Amino acid sequence: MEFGPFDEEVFFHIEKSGLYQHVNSGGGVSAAEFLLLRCKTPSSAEASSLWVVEAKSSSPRPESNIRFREFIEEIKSKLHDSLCLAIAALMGRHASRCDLPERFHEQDWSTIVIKLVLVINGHDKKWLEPVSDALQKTFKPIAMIWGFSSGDVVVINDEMGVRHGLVRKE
Amino acid sequence: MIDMVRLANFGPLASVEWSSLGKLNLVIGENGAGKTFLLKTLYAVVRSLEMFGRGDERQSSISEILARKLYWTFQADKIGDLVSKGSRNPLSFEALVNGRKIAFQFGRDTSKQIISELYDATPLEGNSVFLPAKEVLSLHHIILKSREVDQLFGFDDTYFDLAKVLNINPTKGKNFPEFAASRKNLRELLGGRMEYDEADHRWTFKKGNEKYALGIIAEGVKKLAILDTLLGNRYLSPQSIVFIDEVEAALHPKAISVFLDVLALLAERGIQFFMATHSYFVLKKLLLISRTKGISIPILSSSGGVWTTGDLADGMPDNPIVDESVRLYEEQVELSLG
Repeated sequence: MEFGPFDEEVFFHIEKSGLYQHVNSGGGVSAAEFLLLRCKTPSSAEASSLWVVEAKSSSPRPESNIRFREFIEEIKSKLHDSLCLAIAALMGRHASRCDLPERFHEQDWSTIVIKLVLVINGHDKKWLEPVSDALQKTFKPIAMIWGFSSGDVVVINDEMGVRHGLVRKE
Repeated sequence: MIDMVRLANFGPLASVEWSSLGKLNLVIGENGAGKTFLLKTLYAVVRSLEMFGRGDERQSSISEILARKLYWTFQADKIGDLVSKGSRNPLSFEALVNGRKIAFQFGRDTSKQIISELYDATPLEGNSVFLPAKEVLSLHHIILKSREVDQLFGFDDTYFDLAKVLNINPTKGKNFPEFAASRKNLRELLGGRMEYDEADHRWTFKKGNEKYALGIIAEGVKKLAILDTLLGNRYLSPQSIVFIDEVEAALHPKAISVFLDVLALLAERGIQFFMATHSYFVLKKLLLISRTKGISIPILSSSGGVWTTGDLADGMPDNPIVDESVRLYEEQVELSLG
């Protein structure tokens, strides 16, 4: 599964970034796959939303309780840590190490819509909702704090990812 | 136990063939597909076989008993009206019950007598019952009066038969351990039990030392209490077949899980269940029961008038309940991601 293609100015690969290497130098900070700015119109400089995207090749079945809970915790850490890192960087907390594209710094972060997306490659659509329900439940307090809707924590498969312009069509 | 059933031109059921049946069997399909019709048909046949040779029916042939049962179950002007509309062929029914064959057919001109039938076995032991979606305790005396006294159409035999057996005195016999365990689980869920007051001719709910009128008891509680009552008065035995329409009706998802665990326990002791459902929770819970206990749970599913069979032991088959759940989820994703 390949993501993109995205313009460099609206795309940020987290793990490869200097910013992430800096904050995770001692370990313990999780990273999602990438950040993406999504604009209302292609020519608009005003971003509509920040997408924090994580990719997985599979998920455990919800019936396997322990493994499923661990999986949800792992996804939550990656998405939440990545969101916090982005906002910390945009607040200037890591000014000397921040390699976020300029376009990220130009946004109005008081109003931007936040979407957290998990893409599970090859996942049957009928298994998505239980993962989505569990993830939305765990994100509810975080969504309240950061002022976004837990309904914008979304779980999709690669096919839906293609439809929403996240995944490269094969 | 019903091992196989095959119907053609039977009401809304153009053609159904369902074999390798288990102790737990599930029917799903959209409204009007014929789920309830199928369950009522199976009940009418099984109950006729049970009544054959008993009591007042000793002198009646299976044909007479069956015709009467179909008449009062479906309450059509004549049983020939059960033939599928627009079909030129007669209605036909065939089943294997306890390994023995019952088969009959009749055309749309049939008034009250089924000529063509084949049954080569002794009558069935055990008592079977149909549990409708709506609880009957609240309507108990009305059902009995409208049928026994007024002889009116309205409450069909599924309601009448159930109403008649709810307040029978417990018969002597073994109290099977799995029945006792099931009743214990049911009563934990209920928080009490139903009792019939012979003097006042009404049902009350007893919780500890408190008695509650039926009118203030929840629908779901009354529904669960019916099964508890039938186990307690020993109407049901390991030879029974229980038909449950909309097994999820009036039940919270947690209660559905407990209820289905109770049914699975009763199935282990021998009772065979046929359930109709619209519920995703029922599907998921039965899938888990199938996997946990390593048992077959045959599923009959209607989509667009075509019936297909499957087994939950092979995993969740494609079905309209899950399809609708997926469709709603896709709608939810579109709303969020645009």
